[in-house]
Amino acid sequence: MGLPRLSSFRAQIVIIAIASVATVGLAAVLVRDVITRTEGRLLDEARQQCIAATRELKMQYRERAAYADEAILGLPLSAQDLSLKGLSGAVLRSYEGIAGGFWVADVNRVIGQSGTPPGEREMELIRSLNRGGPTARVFQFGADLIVVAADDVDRNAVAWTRKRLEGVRDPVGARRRWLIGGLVVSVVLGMGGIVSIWLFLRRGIAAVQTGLRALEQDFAFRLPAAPGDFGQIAGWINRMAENRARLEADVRRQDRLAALGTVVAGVAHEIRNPLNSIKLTLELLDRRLQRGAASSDEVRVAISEVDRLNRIVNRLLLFGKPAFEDRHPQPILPLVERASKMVQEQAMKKGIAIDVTPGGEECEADVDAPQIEQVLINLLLNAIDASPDGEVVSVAVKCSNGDCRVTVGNRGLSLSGEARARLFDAYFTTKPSGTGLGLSVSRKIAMNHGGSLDFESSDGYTEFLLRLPERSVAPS
Amino acid sequence: MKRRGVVLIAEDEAAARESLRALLEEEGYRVFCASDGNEASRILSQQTLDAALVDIRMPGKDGLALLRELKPCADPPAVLVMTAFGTSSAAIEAMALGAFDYLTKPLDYEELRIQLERAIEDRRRTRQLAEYRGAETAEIADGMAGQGPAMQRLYKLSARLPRPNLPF
Repeated sequence: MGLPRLSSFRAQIVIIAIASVATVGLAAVLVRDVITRTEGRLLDEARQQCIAATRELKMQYRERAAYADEAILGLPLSAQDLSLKGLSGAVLRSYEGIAGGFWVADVNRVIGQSGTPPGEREMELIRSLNRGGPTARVFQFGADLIVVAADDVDRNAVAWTRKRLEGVRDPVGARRRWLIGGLVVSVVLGMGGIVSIWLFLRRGIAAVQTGLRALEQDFAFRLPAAPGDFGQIAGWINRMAENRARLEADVRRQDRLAALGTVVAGVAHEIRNPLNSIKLTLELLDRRLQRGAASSDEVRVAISEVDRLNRIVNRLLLFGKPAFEDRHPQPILPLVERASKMVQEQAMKKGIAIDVTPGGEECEADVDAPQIEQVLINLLLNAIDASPDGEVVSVAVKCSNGDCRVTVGNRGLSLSGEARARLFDAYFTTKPSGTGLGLSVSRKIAMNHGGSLDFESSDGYTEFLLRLPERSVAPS
Repeated sequence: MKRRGVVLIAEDEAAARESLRALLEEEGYRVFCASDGNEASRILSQQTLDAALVDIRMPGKDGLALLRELKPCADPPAVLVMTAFGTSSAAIEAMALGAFDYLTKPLDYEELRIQLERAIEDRRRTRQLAEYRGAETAEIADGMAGQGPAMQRLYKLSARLPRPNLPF
C-alpha cells in the first residue's frame, strides 16, 4: 500500500488524529509545567520564610545573651529551655506554620522549642548544616516536603526552623487524580470521536460510491435511503437519475417520432409517384374519350401502376413480419451467381466487373431463395452505384462455425458519419432517386433468417457482410 | 393548331412522362422528353425552350442541379419543378434558385396547364423588358468611357433613372 495522497479523505483524518493527540500531549506538558512552577514557588517561599525566621531567632538569642548572658548561661538547662521557648514562641508567632528552636551541640539537646519537635531526619540536617550563615535544606517525607533552616548562634548553640508543605509531593493526590483522569477521558473521547467519525464517513462514502457505480451500470438502480447528510446526498443523486431517465425517455420518444416522420415522408413519396402516373394517364384517357380517340393503352398503364402501388405496400408489410414461402437448406453460391447475372447490365453501363471469388461451393444455408437473391441484388446494386466507373465489385462466399458468410465489397468514398449511423433506417437514402428501403428491408430479411447484415467502411473501401446460419434457427 | 411553345419534360417515371407528353402535345406544345437529369441537361443546352417541367428527384442530376446550371444562362426557359414531397425544403430551394413555381404530385393537370401558360407568358415579358433595357444601356454607354464590371453596373443602374425623353 502506497502513501495515501494528501487530498484523500483517509490522509486528512490521519492528520486530524495526529493534531488532536499532539494538542492533548502539549496540554499535559503545560499542566505539568504549571504544577511544577507552583510547587517551586511554594518551596522558595517556605525556604525564605525559614531563613528569615532563623535569622530573627539568632538575633533575638544574641540580644538576650548580650544583656543577660550570665543569667542565661548560668541557669540550669531546663530553665534555659523555658526562657528560650518564650523567645522562639514570640518570634515565630509572625511566621505562619513554622516551627523552630535551638540545639545545644555539647549535650545534643533541643531546647526552647516552639511547635512540634524535630524528627530524626530533621535532627540530622540541623546537625550537618553549614555554619557561618543561615542555610536551608529540603527533604521529602511521604507526600510532604519539609524545609529546614539552621544557623549558629554561638560556639555551642544552633538556631533552627522548619516548615512542612503538606501534600505537595502526593503522586496519587486528589488533584492529580482528577487531572490525569480528565486527560485520559478526553483523549479516549477524542480518539473515539475521530474513529467513529471516520467509520461513519467511510461507510457513507462507500455507500454513495457503490451506489453510483451500480447506477452507472443500471440506470434503474436507486440508492438506498439513509438518515443524515448521506441520505440527503443519496436523495439528490436519485433525483438526478430520475431527471436523466425522464430526459432520455423524452429524447427516445422524439427519436421515434422523427423516425416515424421519415417513414411517412418516404411512404408518401413512394406512393405519390405511381399516383401521379395514374392521375395523368386517366386525365389523358378522359380527354381522348371525349374526342372518341381513346385506346386501351392508357388503361393498361393505369393498371400496371396500381400493381406497382400494391408491390410497394407488400414491401412495407414484409418490413413487419417474416414471410417465408419456400425455405430449405441449399447452396448459397448459385444464388450469388444468379444475383450477379441480374445486375450485369447496370454494372456494364459503368464498366464495372463483378468478381466472384472462387470457393464456397460447399457452403449451404437454410434460406428462402428469392428473398436472399433480393438481398444480394440490393447489395450488388448499392456497390455498383457507390463504385467509380471501371472498378471491380468483389463478392466472396465462405463458411465458418455453422455460418455462411457472403461479403460484397467496393472501392469508393467511405461512408459519412450520418450515413453510418442511419444506413439501415427505413427511408434513409443518400441517392436522389433512392427509396431508402433497400438496406433496411435486406437487414430485416437477414434477421428473419436468424442471420445478420453489417458493414465496414474505411480507407475508401466499403464491405457488406451477410451472415446466414447453416441450420434453421428461430428468427430473432 | 397554333404552336404554344417548346417544353421539356424531365421525369424518370415513364408512365407519367408519356401521359404528360401526350397531354401537352394535344394541347399544341412541342415536347422534348428526358428520363434522367443528364439527358435533361443535354436537351437544355441544345434546344431553345420556352419552359421546362422538372422533377426534383431524378437519377443522374436532380432538379436543383439543373436549376443551378441554368442560372448563369442568358435566356433560360421558365422552370416548373415537380415534387412528391409537398412543401419540402427542396421545393423552397428550387424557388430560391429561380424556379417559376413548384407543383406537387399527384399533379393536377388543369393547374399545370395554367401555370405553364403563365410561366411562358412571364418569360416572354421578362425577355422583352431585358431587350429594352439592354438597348437603353447600350445607348447610355455610348456617351461614357469605361468597360469594367463596375462601370457596367453603373450603366445598368443609370438605365433605371427617370429620363425626360422616354418614348412613352
